[in-house]
Amino acid sequence: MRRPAWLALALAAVLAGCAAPPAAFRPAPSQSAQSRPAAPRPPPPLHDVAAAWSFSVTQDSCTARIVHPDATLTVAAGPQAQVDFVALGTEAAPRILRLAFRGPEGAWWRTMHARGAEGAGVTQPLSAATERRVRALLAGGTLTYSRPRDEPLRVTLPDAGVSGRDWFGCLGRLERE
Amino acid sequence: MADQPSIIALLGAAGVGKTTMLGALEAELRAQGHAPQRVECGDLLAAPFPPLLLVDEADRIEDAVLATLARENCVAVLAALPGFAARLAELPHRLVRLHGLQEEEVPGYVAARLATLGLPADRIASAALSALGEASAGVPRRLNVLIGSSLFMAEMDGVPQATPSHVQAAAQMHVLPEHGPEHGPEHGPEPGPEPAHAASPDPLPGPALAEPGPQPGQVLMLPPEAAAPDMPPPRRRMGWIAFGLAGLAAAAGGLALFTLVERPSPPPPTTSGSASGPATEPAAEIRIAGPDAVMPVGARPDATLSNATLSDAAISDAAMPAQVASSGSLPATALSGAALPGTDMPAADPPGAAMPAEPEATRAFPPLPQRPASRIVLTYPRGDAAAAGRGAELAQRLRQGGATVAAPFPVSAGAEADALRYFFIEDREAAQAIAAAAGRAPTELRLGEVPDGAPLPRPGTLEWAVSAAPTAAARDGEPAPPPAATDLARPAASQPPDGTVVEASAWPAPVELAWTGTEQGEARCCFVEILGLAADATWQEVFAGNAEAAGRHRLRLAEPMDYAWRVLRLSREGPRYVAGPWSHFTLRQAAP
Repeated sequence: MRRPAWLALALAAVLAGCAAPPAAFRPAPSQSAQSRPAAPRPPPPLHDVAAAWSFSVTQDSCTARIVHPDATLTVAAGPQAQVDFVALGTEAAPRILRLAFRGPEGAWWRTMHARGAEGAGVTQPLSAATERRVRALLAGGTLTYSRPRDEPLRVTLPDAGVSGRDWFGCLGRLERE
Repeated sequence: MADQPSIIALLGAAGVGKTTMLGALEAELRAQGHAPQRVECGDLLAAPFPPLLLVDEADRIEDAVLATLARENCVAVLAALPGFAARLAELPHRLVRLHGLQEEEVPGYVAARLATLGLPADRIASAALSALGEASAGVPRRLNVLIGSSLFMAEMDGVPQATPSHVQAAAQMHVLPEHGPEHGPEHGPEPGPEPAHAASPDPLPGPALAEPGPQPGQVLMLPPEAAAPDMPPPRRRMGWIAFGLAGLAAAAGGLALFTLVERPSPPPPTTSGSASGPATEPAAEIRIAGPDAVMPVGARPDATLSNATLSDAAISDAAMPAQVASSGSLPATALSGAALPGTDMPAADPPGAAMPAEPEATRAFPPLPQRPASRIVLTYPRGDAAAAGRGAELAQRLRQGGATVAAPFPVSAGAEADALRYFFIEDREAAQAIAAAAGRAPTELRLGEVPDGAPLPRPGTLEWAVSAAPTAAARDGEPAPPPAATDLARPAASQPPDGTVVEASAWPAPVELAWTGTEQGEARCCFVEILGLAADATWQEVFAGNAEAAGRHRLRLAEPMDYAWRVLRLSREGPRYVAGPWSHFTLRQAAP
């Protein structure tokens, strides 16, 4: 099997660096291993539909919406230093159990909690990790809404472009405040 | 090395630091110029694979995908629980195992953690350190939880230092069922081999020593990893319950009145304000008052308002309550069409974007900006520390010149040369002025592209792309785009009519803005700007965003005050925009 040698070399060098953290915190190597294999799950049937972005800002909040005929995702930050991801399905299938995203800038998923008429949502602190998720979302990809009775809804999310990057500046302002 | 297995498994128990190490690995690789793709959950992994993959929670990768990955010509670092090794037995791979801290490493870790939290090292007695190590089994995440909880226990006892008994009490406190009440059958457990780990995939907890903690003097609460991070804390849940009860009480109290009254005194009403629609009887929930005219409020002149028109359900979630504080966070230049201090940016309107004179009715208000203010988005290649530094320096210089600049934004596809992009023909002059003011001309000044499916940006948006290598020679990129062949019709505010007073009895008050001059079905045509007149008689931005429809936008406004608003119509042809005239209304508390 042929591998890109430069990549393997670079990775080996980096891993070697990562494996040697400050002495006080170096994890100890061990030969023992717990056995906890994961059961593979069959991939659900999916269908592709495109969604549209819209953005708005106020003095103390930043809101992005991803609108699709079958689901809407609202990403709202402020006034507290946190980001709300709220997903709402259609009237016939309003519940969203899980939100998964995959795109060129990364992949992540969140379990959504029911919020009555608002649909379902999850609140994350406005941290570097959350910002990374939002940035990945803005770069576009595929958003998958898991629903209790229906097949998962897969939504093609376009790159939000400079509008998204402009809006992201609002998050930065909130974080600084 | 070329024949090494492509899969490198990073194995360790939950909380040992796999995600943190993966993050450090990603940062290091990017700093070296590589572009790894990070996948936070293995079940999101699917072919085709990029050359360099970092996968968290790799336990969730399906067997077939794993087998395919092993055959691919790529390098994948898979972070997983120790049991994952069994699934790799038949595949070429290498293992890197992470384990908890050794006993002698615990004191150093605790001291570092306390320093991160801004606390002195003596807040935990030395005798308690071994108890911490024992109770946590050296797993950093558990250690973090126990440190916070032990300090909490000590505070409850009113003593400044956590002792072994506090550690033991903290450890007992965390003997909890795996799932909280929110994880009922309706939600179902998270798929995967380890629910507790699945519920907290956020790398925030872990041993993230760089993560900011509570400040000195703050009451220490349990770190986020002590509970499932997606659950609201009990206090917040109580808040929601109280909020719900208050909402029910409000609903039982009756419907909110929403009243619109014509402005009774100068400034005199404009044409649109005085002839806004036919006289009709007011709907039951809406009181219309005024000298003579009575009209349905908050709707188009030919429509009759119903409760549903202004009901909570009809209001866009995107329009969040807006606070108009006297200390606005936006610099005045962000709102003003006047020349930026220290720049040559012309205050005059650009060609093709002539703005109409202010209506007579608004002359009493402070002047309003006519051209959209320039806001600069700075980008730099992700992982390029030098470019990030140059971007930060440039941002600072631009801000000193009075420009509004967001924090530099990392992008994967970096520019080949420094480029300043504008996105509407009307913003070209502003871009030139910004470039001149920065004292460092970009290599290229050109019309930027908006990807298919992406909305057109807010008028005035400029993007300065900082490239990996600084470029010396400046050139103007491309000639100025030709003027558009046809005029873009200017939108005109129709509702609320200019100069009216809107009374509301419920706050934040639902308001529907409507305008003419756009075509139905003209998707994402418009951008809405709303300013509020603050107590210091300056206009502050209250809302800016894409309109929800071609001719209307609904939102909630938080405070009674004078508002000015306008619509900017955007067109991909050009691209270009035209700003409608400002319209005013006053929102005030209805009489009881």
